[in-house]
Amino acid sequence: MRADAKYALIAALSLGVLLALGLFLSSPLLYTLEKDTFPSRFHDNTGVLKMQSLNSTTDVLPLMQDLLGYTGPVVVSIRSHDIAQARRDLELFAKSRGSLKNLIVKLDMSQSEMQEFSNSKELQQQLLTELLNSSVSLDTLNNLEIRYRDENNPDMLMSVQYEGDALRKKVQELYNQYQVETGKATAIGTKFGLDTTTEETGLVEFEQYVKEIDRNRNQQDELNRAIDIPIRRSARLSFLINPESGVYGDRIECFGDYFSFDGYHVEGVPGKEVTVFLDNAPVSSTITDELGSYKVIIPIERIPAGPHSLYAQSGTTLSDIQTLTVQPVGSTTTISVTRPDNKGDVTCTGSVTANRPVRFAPVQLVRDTTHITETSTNAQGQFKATLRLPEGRHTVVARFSGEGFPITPSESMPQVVDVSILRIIPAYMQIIPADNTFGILLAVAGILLLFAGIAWYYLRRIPGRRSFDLLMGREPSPPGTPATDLFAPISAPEIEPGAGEMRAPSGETFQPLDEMILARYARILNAEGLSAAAWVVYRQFAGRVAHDLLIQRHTTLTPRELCHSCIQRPFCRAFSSFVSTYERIRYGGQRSVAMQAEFENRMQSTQSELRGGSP
Amino acid sequence: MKKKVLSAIVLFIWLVIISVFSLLAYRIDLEIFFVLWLIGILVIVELMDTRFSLPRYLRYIKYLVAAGIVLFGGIVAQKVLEILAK
Repeated sequence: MRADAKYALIAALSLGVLLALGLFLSSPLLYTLEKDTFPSRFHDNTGVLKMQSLNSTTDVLPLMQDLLGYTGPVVVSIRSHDIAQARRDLELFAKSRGSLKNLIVKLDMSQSEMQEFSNSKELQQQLLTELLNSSVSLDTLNNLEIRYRDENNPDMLMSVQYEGDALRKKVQELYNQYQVETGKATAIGTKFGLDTTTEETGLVEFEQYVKEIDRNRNQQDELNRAIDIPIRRSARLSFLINPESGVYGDRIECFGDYFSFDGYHVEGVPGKEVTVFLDNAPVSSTITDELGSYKVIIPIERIPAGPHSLYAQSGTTLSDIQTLTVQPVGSTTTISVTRPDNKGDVTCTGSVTANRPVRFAPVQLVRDTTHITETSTNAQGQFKATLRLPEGRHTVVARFSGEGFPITPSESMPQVVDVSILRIIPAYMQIIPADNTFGILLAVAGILLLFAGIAWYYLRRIPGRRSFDLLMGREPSPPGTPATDLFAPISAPEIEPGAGEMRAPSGETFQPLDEMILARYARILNAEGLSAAAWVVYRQFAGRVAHDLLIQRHTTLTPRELCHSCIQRPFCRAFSSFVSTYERIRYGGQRSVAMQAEFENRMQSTQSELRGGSP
Repeated sequence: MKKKVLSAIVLFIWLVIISVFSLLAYRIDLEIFFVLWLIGILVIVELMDTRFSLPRYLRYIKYLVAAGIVLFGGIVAQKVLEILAK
């Protein structure tokens, strides 16, 4: 590369660097605390660590202590039926919990015990909210029960009692879950040296509340026995179910007759609309046939596990209440995820199965435990959804909560999806298949070989040489160099007897004999002209001079440099004159007869001088 | 000033610049440091190289650069493996 080109390149690179630096002038801090992401675990931002240690003691612990103080008063308010106060306390609890959650995210403590504490508190909040709602419903049901008892309405009374039983069971389950979460929160709080008395008081209050509502239920049972139920109706509606208990997917047959009393005559009434109610909600409707009979099939699908009241109604006529007991069954959720396409889209397919496929059930597709996508099963219990995943390694899980179904929740095995840059780039650009070990090894070996070759070329490279000649192990010829192989060994007839020998200083092969110089000069002069012949003679003389001066790489020196090197030698004057003429022929382009004669004169004088100086 | 001394000073300044920017960015990465050093020394050797002679110190620097190129090949191969392993 030419020197000016080199300087131009380095100047362009410098300008480029300065321009790139200029782009960052407005925001010179490349890494901020807000956008603090590191490529590996070896990179740490000491500033963030400092802030973490500071905040964990000054902010987090007082907030945790506050949170431990909220749950107890909420339970006490619920137990004393102070609903408004309980709601206010719950709101404050939610706000405080939100602050802790934000702080944990801000300090990047998502893997710590504080995160576990926050999760427990979140669950406690949900449980207390449900307890509050259940408590309100229980109060309402108690009032209804009193009213129906006063009205001597046993049908509605039983329905209300069933609902009350379901609610009491739910409160018991809430207590069990609350006990677990309180245990976790108390253990973590104690570990950090926090006061957990209020938390434990809340748990005791909750337990008392559960016992209290059970006691109330027993008292009501005692009262119900004393109710007188007069039955005087002109029309009757019979109602039976078969079977009386079932699991998900079973079909419950509901049947009966609508008949009227006419004196002592009992007669079926055709064409009457009969509606069947499940937990006071209509589920099916039909018309009585010509004999006054009716039949309805109710599949057990979205009905929670437990006892349920079933009855039929036609106009103002109510049937007896039957109890349907739905048993819970276990479930299995499966998922399979396809390989990501070019955009990072994956298709998730799977199924939810209990004792049979679960139809139209909501399914959550959870990606990396944080991103949730909702879908639902079809009539065959299968689901299919497409997710778009960013680059990286992800875990996808299908979750069936079982809410509203007589089926226990289930979760699929986590599926790991790797969305790498190779997946995102188009397929035709994927030169190396990612799953081909041999191909990978070959590619790595190729890369290493390539760079080793570059290093070898770099070492062997000599500025001015052409790479092809170098690779072929041949020294390239400069322009105007004779095509004849001037340095080839001289054949026997060319060498005259008695001629001495001279060894080249560094492997350089040149014709040692003066006579040979003249002979070659004459031959090349005739064959290729004065310039080539002059070059041959110069090379011979240069070899001799280098040998005399012990110069190892004389071919790297210019003729003038060689002249300067031999300045203290007796043949230097003659050699300098020879070089001057040689340059005029070789580079000045002077090829006249006079110039040839002058060159030959100086060649002979140099030759004689060199012969005199040679050892 | 001799080329040898000048090249050493320029290389030192280049390494100081790299270090300062690495510190400003809170990102001390040996791979990046190595590659930038290699680029710097390649530019310096190219600028100070002579046409007809090869001083001994320049020959040794060239051996160093050749070793650096081989090491750079190793880094490239490692990066390719990392991408494929994702």
